[in-house]
Amino acid sequence: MLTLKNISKKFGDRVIYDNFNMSIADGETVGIVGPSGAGKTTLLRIMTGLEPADQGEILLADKIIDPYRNRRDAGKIGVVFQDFQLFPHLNVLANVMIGPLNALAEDKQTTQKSATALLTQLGLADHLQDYPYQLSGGQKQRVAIARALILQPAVLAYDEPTSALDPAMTKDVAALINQFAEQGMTQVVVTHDMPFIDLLAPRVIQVGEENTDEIV
Amino acid sequence: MNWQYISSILPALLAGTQTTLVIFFTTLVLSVPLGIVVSVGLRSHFKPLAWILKGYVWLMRGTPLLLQLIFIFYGLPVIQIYFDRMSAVFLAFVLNYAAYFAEIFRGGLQGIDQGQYDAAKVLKLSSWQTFRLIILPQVVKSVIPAVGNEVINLVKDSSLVYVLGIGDLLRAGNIASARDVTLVPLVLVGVVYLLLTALLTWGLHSLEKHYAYYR
Repeated sequence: MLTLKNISKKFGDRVIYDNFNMSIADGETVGIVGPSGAGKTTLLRIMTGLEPADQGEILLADKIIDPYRNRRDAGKIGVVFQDFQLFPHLNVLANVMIGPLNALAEDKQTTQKSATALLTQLGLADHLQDYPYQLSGGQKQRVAIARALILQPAVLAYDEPTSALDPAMTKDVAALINQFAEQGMTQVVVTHDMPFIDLLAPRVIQVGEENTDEIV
Repeated sequence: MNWQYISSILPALLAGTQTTLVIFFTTLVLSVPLGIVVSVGLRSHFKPLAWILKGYVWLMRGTPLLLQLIFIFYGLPVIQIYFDRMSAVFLAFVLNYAAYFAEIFRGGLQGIDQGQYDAAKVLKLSSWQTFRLIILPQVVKSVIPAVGNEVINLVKDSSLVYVLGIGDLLRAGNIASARDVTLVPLVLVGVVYLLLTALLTWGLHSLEKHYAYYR
């Protein structure tokens, strides 16, 4: 279970979160929705350690984690960025291998095997040697998903997964998220795209002007 | 064109070219890494360090390299700091060029999307791994044209060591020209510089092509 407990965050004088609470059960897919500027991405950045909360705690399986300050905790919640943030100088395989190979010091052969299997599973077997600029938006997103999944995160978080995709691809990514949900993966989907959320039918957490309510 | 005359001055010109190349390569090999280190320091959150480095870059880019050479070799002995000729040359050139390279690399670093750092962080990469594996390769690609300009300038700037009496290519040509009252040595000096810059231009184009494998 992922729990955010009493999270507060201010940017200057602007209060984004004030004692905000939420929990996501294991295997659950949760949609975090709200208008632009409501703090959806900030919440994702706090839970993944890309932004510090002013106060509050993040608990994963009832243990406090600090992915902002502690590298050991980074990657426990995988992220698929809005603009994917693939490394342009690395091919698809290298993009996926770079985490386990360098951060976890896993051996190259094992990493290559699991990266290839993961990419094949995601329909990218023919693109292992391609560079990000040679891929479509949907393919880039699947590489980003593989890159996050190879670290076996407890939770996979998506930031606006449809914003860089054409409408046809939106259905594909919804199908993929639903497939992961069926497999029991814990997922957080941050989006302002309500028709997309309808395709997923997850529990929805609305963030807005008053992010003070307790949502459990 | 008197080939016999040319062949008679060629050994002196080649010896001068060798000195020019030693200055060029030594400066390049030392100033590029130093420039990278300074560029990172310029972006440091530790303000005193960033200010000191900004001051260093301002001083080096704001005063002529010729003045820096003269200051180090002829000026510093006044306060009992002595350098031999080549050490003074290396010190002035490396400090001067590292400042230019630092500014170029700083610009390159600024051009990298913050999202690349974020992606590296969630992949559990350390700061050093992020810099070495993600940031630096992208910066290198983006700065090749600007670094290339400086590298070509360096070949020509190496002739400034003439002022310290070092026997570089220009000095060799100038001595021969004054002694034999002919323009031929100076024309040859020009040809050698042109050949060197042509070779470098070709090398830099190859490097750009090498990095063109991604966008």
